[in-house]
Amino acid sequence: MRREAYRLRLREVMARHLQLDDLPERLDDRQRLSEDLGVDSIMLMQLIVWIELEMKLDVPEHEVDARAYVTIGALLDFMLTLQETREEEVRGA
Amino acid sequence: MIKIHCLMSCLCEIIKRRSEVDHRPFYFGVWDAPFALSETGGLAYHAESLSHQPLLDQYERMFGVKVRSWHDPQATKETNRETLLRLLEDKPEHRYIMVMLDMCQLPGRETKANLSPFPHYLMVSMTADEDRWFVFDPDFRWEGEADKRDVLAAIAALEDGAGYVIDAERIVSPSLEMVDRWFVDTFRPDVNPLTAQVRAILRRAEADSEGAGLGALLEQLGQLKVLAVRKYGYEYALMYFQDTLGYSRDHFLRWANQIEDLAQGYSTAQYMSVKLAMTGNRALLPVLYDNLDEVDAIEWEIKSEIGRQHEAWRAAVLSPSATRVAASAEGGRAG
Repeated sequence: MRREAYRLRLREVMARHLQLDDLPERLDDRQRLSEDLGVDSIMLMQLIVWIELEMKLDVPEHEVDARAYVTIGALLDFMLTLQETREEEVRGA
Repeated sequence: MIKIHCLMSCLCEIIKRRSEVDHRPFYFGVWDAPFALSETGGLAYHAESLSHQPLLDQYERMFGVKVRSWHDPQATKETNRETLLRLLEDKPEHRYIMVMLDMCQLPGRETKANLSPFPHYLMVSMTADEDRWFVFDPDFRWEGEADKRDVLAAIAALEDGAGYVIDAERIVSPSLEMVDRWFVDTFRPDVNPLTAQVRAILRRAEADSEGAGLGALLEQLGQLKVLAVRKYGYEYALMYFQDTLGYSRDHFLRWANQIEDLAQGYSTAQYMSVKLAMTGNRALLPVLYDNLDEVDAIEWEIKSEIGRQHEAWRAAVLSPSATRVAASAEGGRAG
């Protein structure tokens, strides 16, 4: 349930902030961020920051490893491990 | 084989495939291998100005294998393409043809680097099918066939070009004295150049109130992770020395974990710099500087251990009168 909600929000964030015009209607777990969706290494880092800011998920800086998020499925797995950000942390970001 | 440096991976794989010679000492110093700075002062793992010649000369000294450039920077892309095709036509079995191409233009290959462009060295040869080439890519541990037109297009996609011919008919083993000298020549116990440069870039961005300021960090540290993988070269040194010193597998693994922590430290630094560039939140600056201090501290520990192991190795192999027991004792904080 939460995974599907994240999937929808992730697509919104990618379309709005990474200006990816050719995203499929639904992101599939097997889609590769770089080869299939055109997300380069910097965009991937930006995407994680947007996940933190827009989706209000607390990303532990010491655990971010861009090489681990090869596919949409891997990125969603990672997002499901994150805690929601407390309100004062959002304001401070 | 650990992914560290594509040119070195190609050169080392040739030694591995064609001989029993130990290629690992060639990786000494790769952890601090030179990098370039872009026009805007950002980190760059590739630049025309960055010469591989010292590395190629050392390869010949160590293994007796000559590497020559086939690419002519003064010639047109078409001329260089013809040179490559001719070299492949005339290639004897012991010869390897290395090309530089834009990896992100090669269909069907996953790199995990997500860089565009992504200059990368690999080796090619012809197959029975004139439209297909055999691609030998040790750095990504991949070999297989690819459409010749795709490979040529990926080569042409880069603004600059490069390529080498390696004649590996006869491979010799370096003397222990030569291995020792290469370590001493490349080991820099007093400086961690990559971390120092990241800190300098950060300080400059922090002080730049007129220009792009912190926003510039996005581009300037964009290639940090590609450079950080070179730190895995420490593992080759540890493996090489431990064979002589008789250290345990557990001892190696503890230091390998330190190297992993070092690589993660750079991932953290890159993520924080992107966040800083996007948000402009200066409260992140001290956290990022602290992270760089941690990265430095980890690398000093690793260097201290590698330096200690090198001394012990040297005493064991170059000074037969030295006491073997003292030389081979496991030590270091993580040990």
